[in-house]
Amino acid sequence: MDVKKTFLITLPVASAYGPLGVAFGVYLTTADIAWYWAPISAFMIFAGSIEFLAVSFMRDAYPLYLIAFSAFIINFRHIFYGLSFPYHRLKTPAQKAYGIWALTDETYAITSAGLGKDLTGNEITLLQIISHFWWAGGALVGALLGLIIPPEIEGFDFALTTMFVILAVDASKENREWALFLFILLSALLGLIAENFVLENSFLTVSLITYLACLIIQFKVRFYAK
Amino acid sequence: MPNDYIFYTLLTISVITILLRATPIFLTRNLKDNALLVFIAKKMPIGVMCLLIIYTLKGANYLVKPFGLPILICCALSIGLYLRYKSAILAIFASLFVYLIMINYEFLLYYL
Repeated sequence: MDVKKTFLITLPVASAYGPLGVAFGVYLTTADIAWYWAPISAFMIFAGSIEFLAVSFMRDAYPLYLIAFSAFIINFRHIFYGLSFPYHRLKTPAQKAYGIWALTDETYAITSAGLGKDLTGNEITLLQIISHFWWAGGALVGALLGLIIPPEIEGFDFALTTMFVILAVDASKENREWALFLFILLSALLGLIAENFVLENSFLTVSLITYLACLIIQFKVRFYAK
Repeated sequence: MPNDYIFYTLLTISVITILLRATPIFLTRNLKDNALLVFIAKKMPIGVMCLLIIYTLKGANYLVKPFGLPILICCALSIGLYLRYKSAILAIFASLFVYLIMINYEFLLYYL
């Protein structure tokens, strides 16, 4: 097992996970959640956007079923990562289980096509463990930083907004379709109406379901048009 | 905030994320053969991200001063920096920094 090579491959991952982990830690602590939950969350979930959202959900006291539903929709893309992740290289059941747990966007990209496509099973596990540590370590550092920031300073929730903005720019490169823009407007509108006039905190659920329904209808229309 | 609520929230998200990542292994049929799933997976991210942006923007009050301008300006700044310098980390931290200064202007002025 080439520990040095594996470690070097994780450095680009570290340059992304470290700072983002710090931002997550600061955000969690300044949202009045005890600092030690930041590394615990980074350890348990290891996913990114949904972890930042978890903080926002908890602050608004979301019920668990809404949290579960949102996590399902937001992480839906992960269902396709497992398809080309090199499980066959992982040997023991524990390695395979951990491989799934720690299958992030980055480890998927590296091991299935990138620098790490020749890594052995043990090296993949090591790569995932080191990446996991970068993420949880960043979260811990951020959480401790959050403790010394004066409580009068507000606005750390913008970390969430700017992260989604960047992810939306990336996603818009893949898809530039006017129909999707209309679906988003309709979904947001229904979500806002539901949240303001029907049920508190229902924006995400209603808008995500509407968007999903729009896609299914669009698919059916195209399918039957053929 | 009660610790058990925090723990169960994290556990719920963790389990759902792991189940999604594990799904392809337990299916005998290849998911890539399901045209509807592939269609949805391709068009989902842009919609989800835009709705998440709106989710974080809807808290601001746009009717009173400063009319939500700091958050909107910093969103534009974030997009501009990302397109110009192609660095997500730079765009996130620079726009967050500018936003914090705009929001905490009076507090910072008082102490510095």
